[in-house]
Amino acid sequence: MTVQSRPAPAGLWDVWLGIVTRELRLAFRRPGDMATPLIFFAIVVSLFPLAVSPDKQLLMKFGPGVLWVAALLASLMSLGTLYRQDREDGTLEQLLLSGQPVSVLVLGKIAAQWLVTGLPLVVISPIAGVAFFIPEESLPILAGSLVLGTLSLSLIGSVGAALTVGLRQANSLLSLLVLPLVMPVLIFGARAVSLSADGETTGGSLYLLAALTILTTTFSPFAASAALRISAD
Amino acid sequence: MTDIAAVIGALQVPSAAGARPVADLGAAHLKAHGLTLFRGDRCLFKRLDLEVGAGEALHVVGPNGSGKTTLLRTLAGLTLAEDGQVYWCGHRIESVRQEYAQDLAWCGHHPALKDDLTLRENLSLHRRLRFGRDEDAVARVMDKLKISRLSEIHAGRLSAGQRRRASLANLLLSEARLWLMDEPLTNLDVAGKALVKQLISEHVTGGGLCVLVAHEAVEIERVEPAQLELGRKS
Repeated sequence: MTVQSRPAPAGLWDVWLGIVTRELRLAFRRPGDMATPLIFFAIVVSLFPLAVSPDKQLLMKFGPGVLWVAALLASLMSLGTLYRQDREDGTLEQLLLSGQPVSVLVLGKIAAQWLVTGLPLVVISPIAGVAFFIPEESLPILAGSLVLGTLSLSLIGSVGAALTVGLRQANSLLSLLVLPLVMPVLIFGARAVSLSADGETTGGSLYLLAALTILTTTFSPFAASAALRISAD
Repeated sequence: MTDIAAVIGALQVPSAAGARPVADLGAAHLKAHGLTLFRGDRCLFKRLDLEVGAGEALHVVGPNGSGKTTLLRTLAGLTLAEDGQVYWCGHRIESVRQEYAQDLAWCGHHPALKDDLTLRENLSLHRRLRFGRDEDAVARVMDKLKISRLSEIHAGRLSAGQRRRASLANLLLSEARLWLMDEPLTNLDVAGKALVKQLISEHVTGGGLCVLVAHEAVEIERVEPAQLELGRKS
């Protein structure tokens, strides 16, 4: 096989799309795995009023926080398996040796993971918001802040998932690694929603949240690909 | 997201993302110099040297646990050696990681198949990651390996031998100059073994390189593989 007779390497856009297609196809062949985080979110959210109090004032007060924490934990659930399957069936080695930048492959995996777990959470969050008496005009803020929040969580979490992929206690370790890092996201996200529910301006919190998302989008693919190389060793 | 992928591409590859040039590092040549590897505190091998040129094959033999697979992983750049260096076409493999990976096809223990995808989907995604979408190439390779009739079966339902054949299909679809094969003959029937040997023979006589790990003696037509024995007490 000479180098000249070989077709040119695939464009990065095609590579990214290829990974996203594969991950989505895999996810849709196992719809049960997709539904678990959503059901978890719905259950956690409905447990709080039962445990604390169905009082409207109280629910309005802690609603944004509860929704955010539940969404965070729900999307953390699916992060543990982000690379595990790939490692077990040998796909990870093939990805690392595909001759493509691993950061692009990682970005594709994260995008697909967000589409199957983060996006559905965002979609049902307004319904959960109504259950917590969050005013109607704040529901778009809730959904919008969760778009940014779940995105950055997936991005940060992918680094943790890449680091822990070969370990036995991967899931608990992953939470310990990732949860402290997503605190700023949680603070600004929940704050934006409660500010909006109180009728105040939310620009500051949302901008900071967006900045965090951009920051994590910039760095985490590189960090995750470096971590994957270490884990594959 | 898409813009970011393009930006990252532009950062890592100076040319436009759409049409990337074929990397050419010159005449294919694999060399390892002074490799030392430990597993835990046990030394697998010390100061190991090896060289494989174009049109040559290397057969690594040794008892279980002698570090054959680890050596192969080190050659691929998946495992870091404690000491020593692997060179591809005279470059350290860390410095030409992407070009090296494009020149390399890995056939490991695991066939890298997704159980929930059909065989064809598995193979065409593997091909797509390297060279873009190309269903014709996938069909050709499936024909060559006589697995066309399995193309719409989910990989999870394939037998061990069929999965082996599928990983050989991945190998061919990579169109690489260097084949690194870990026990390519396991789980294969007589016809399958003959097929592997024939593929290696075609590859090597066509100017390719092959490093293969196998317990058993491998007799390949028109190819005299050099032998490297690991795990000898010295």
